Amino acid sequence: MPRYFLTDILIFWLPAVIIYLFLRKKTNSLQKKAFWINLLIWCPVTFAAEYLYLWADIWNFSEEFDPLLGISIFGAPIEEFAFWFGAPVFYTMLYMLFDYLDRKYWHRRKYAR
Amino acid sequence: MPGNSSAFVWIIKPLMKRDLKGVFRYARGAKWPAWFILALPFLIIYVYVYFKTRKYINWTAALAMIIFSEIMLTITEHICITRGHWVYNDNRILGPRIWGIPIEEPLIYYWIPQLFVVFTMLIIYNYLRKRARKKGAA
Repeated sequence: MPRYFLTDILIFWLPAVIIYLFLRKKTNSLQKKAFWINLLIWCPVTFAAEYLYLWADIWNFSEEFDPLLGISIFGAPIEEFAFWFGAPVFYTMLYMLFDYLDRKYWHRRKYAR
Repeated sequence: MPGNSSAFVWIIKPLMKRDLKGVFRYARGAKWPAWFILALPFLIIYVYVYFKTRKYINWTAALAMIIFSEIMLTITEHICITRGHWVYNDNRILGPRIWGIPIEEPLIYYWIPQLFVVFTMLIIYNYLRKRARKKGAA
């Protein structure tokens, strides 16, 4: 079973999609635009970082228990991109969620001024 | 074909061994802490974007995000390391490990990238807002 890939989906992509659907109508158009432009910037950065770190031989993959999917992009397993690109998506969604909750519930009075 | 999926993967598999704690390890190449050193250029840009956005960021939300992701990533990474999804090269990390996880991870990679992506998003958001205001004024 490709547990590494499933882990990426479970920890980053699935929560990010759920948060996105939750915040879809609670964020303005500028916030949405900033979110997508930000991801466009981070996509090549994460790709470059992945190859840089693989080139430096910092980590590798054993596959003793869980095989990789078998799809690679210029020698790097696709799971790595699911992880590296999933992380910025998830982190920004998480920040936007906490920002929304903070404004709506935790520090409502402060933002109401 | 799983097992020979990547040019980076199969070459070093014979080097990989599990230690007494069940953590996969291997050591190859000259000793230099690449995992730490290669983060330094990002840190320089990080400091710049921090000063650009520190007044705009919601620190309560940022702190909640960091705590949440730190806990989540520690558990996930421990599982990934013991399952052998990632095997760190002992010659490319500083050395000390916490729960099998190289110390660079909690020190750098569990909070700086998180804030970094939020900072850049806020820079873009502020730029778009200023531009929209200018358009509105004109």
